[in-house]
Amino acid sequence: MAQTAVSLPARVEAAGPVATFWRRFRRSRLAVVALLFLVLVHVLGAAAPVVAPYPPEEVDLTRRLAPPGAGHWLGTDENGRDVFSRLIYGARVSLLVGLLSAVVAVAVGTVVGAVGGYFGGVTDAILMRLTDGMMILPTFFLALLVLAVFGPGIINLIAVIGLTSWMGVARVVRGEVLRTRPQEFVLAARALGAGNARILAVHVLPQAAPAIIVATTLGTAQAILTESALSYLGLGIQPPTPTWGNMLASAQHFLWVRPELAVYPGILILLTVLAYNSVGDALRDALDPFMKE
Amino acid sequence: MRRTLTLLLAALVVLSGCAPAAPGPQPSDSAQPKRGGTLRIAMLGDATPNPFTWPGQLPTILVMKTMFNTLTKFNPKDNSLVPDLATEWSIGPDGTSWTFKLRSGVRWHDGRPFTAEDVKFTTENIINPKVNALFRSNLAGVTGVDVIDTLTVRINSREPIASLPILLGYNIVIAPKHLLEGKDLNEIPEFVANPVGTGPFRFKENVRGDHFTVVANEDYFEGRPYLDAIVFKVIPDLNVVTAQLRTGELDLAMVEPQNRQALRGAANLDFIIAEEPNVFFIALNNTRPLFQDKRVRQALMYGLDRKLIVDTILEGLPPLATGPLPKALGEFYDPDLKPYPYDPEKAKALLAEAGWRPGPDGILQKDGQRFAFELMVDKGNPTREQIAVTAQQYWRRLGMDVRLDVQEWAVYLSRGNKLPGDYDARTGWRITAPDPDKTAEYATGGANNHFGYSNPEVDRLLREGRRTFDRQKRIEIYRQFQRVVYEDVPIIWIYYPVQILAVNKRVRDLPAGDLRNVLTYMHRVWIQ
Repeated sequence: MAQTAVSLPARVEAAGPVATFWRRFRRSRLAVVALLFLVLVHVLGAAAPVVAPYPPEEVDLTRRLAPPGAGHWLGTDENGRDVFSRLIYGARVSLLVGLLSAVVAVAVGTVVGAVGGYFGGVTDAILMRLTDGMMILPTFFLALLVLAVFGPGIINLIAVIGLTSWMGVARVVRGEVLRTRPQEFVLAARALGAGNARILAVHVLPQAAPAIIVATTLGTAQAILTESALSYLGLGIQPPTPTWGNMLASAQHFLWVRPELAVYPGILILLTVLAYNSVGDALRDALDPFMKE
Repeated sequence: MRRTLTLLLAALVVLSGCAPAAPGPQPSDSAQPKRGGTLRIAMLGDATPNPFTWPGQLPTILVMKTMFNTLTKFNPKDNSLVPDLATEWSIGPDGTSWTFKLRSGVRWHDGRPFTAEDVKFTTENIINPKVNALFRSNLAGVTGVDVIDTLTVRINSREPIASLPILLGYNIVIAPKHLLEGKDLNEIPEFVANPVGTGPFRFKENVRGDHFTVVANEDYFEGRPYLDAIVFKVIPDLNVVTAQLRTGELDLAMVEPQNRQALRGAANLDFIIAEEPNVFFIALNNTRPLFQDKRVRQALMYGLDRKLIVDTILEGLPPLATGPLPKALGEFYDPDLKPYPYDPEKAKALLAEAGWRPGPDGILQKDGQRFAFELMVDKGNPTREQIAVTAQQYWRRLGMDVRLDVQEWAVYLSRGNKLPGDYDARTGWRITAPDPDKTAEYATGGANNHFGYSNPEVDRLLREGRRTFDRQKRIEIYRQFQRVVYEDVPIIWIYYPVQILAVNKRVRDLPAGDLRNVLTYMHRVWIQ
């Protein structure tokens, strides 16, 4: 622990699990940068009404497709709307949909995986065949179909993305539960008279928490990509509400005139997804109880 | 561009001491037309050459224009009527029939002679309700065709149709009876795979998703075309069209205002800006309680800065719309009417007069009802989406809760064209034959009156116009019609669309005009 004392002098006595986690996490420089980037994007998104210099839907046809300048830091789009403001508001929608869809996916996946793994037998067989069934469906096209039938919108989008991407989580959680269930502390809890629900919630699932956290992070990245793709195809969030995906879609008509209009949302999607993925990877390493120091 | 053209024209007149020859090809330099070469034109989708149902619409229209003929056609310069398969026509004594003399010596691409029977066959099948003819409304009121002799037909109608020769020139292509008789004309796979027409070009091949090729018809009645072939390239993405125009892989394409901006400075290209008999509008569903008050509709008109839309989104190219008739209709267009100005104060005053007051949430209210409606627009076309977004913002400023409803093309069409339409408000446009008759749109119960407009005075004028043959009287009737409709504002007219054609400079003697008309003159075009 001597090395830690050098870098973390104030916390040397309290090198508990959080400190250990952080020490492991920041070993990946990329992940730290990624985390900072994500914090920045989320804060900007959350504070959009305060930070954005213009309302994102304010049309000003006299200033269409203006280049970056003093009034508009990143210029304006084809309706004379401020691109910077729209990117910030777009972050809001993209991140919200990304996070909430991942939460839906993780919730469904955790329940399916935990119940299947814990009870085993027929329950497990049915749930896992359901999971396999969902896995072989081309989920992106399923999402397209569902949105075409039920109409686009933020709630539908979250539900569709969430309900078509829980299968991986279910598999991982089931594996963790299978591993945990025969262990002594679980048997002890059962011997003391704890019910199934209590054992699952208090003793088994916490063991799967690292896996769930990692799955949520990686799932968010995937969901942001899916949202962008759906919005790009016009089935996501509807104009004039900005998202990165639909900004990309409308920018493509002006590729020859103002190519950077497509570059801004494109880079933000790229960096955000990359950041979530590298944070997810670093989390996996930092939370792995079997990993050697 | 228009100025350059005018200058060129002027220069030519001065130099040669004579007026350019009708029907208005682009002024050519002193060079003699040269035979040979292939012209490449862009189209956004696949063509399916069924001369009755026209699947795919615009791409099909484009290729058909080069392979088939109509009885009459239009001079692209001024939309005046000129002969095509018919050489002359006259009205019958009671006005309910037109007699057409047909051109002699015309042969189908398979060598069989073209006769009056083909005209009868085509016309009677277009009005046959069993055939899903796309342009049946052109022939509304036509009852049948009599063959007088092999080269004379008489087209009969229930009531006098003053503009029948004009309507026949608008996509009523004559199809060969000997190949199609007895077939279900809704599905003619053999003919679609090998279409046979009378036009200057004959079918060569149709590779779906890639190209459609036609080659010169050696026996064309106006002589063999200069071009060896025309290749219509299927390119769904306008960015790709732009790139190929720049590199010279395309000779001719219709582009959007933002593409023109991107092509500016390309030394190999010229632009043709052509007026169309077309109106772009935002339709208000007159059957909805919200839009039944004329003052409310006028307020929406005053509250939208249409001139700014034209000057910015459309780069000032098309004329600002005044009323229901486009400027391309020449004398029928009433020049005394002036477009509604942008006047938000007047708009607010009209709304207040109609009883709408701002509610607690800032939205106008009347008898507990909020002024809220949806504006439907089709997905994916940047120009139309920009106009919808702009209108939403302007009308919000008047205190209306306007939501955008961006719909897939198929949904947009099916909801938008119901009678009455299944929408509150929607964008739309209507391109017609260069004829002032607007019965389909503005008469009560008209086939395209999806906005549910009804005014007995307008109905009377439109009926009157259809049966009046005297040109001066017709002009007066249609100007009166415009004045009444202008006051009623059934829909928000925004502009009279123009077509932007990008043309490679190696293309010579291409008439300046609407591409649909231009393509009927391709036998005069040549490549340097």
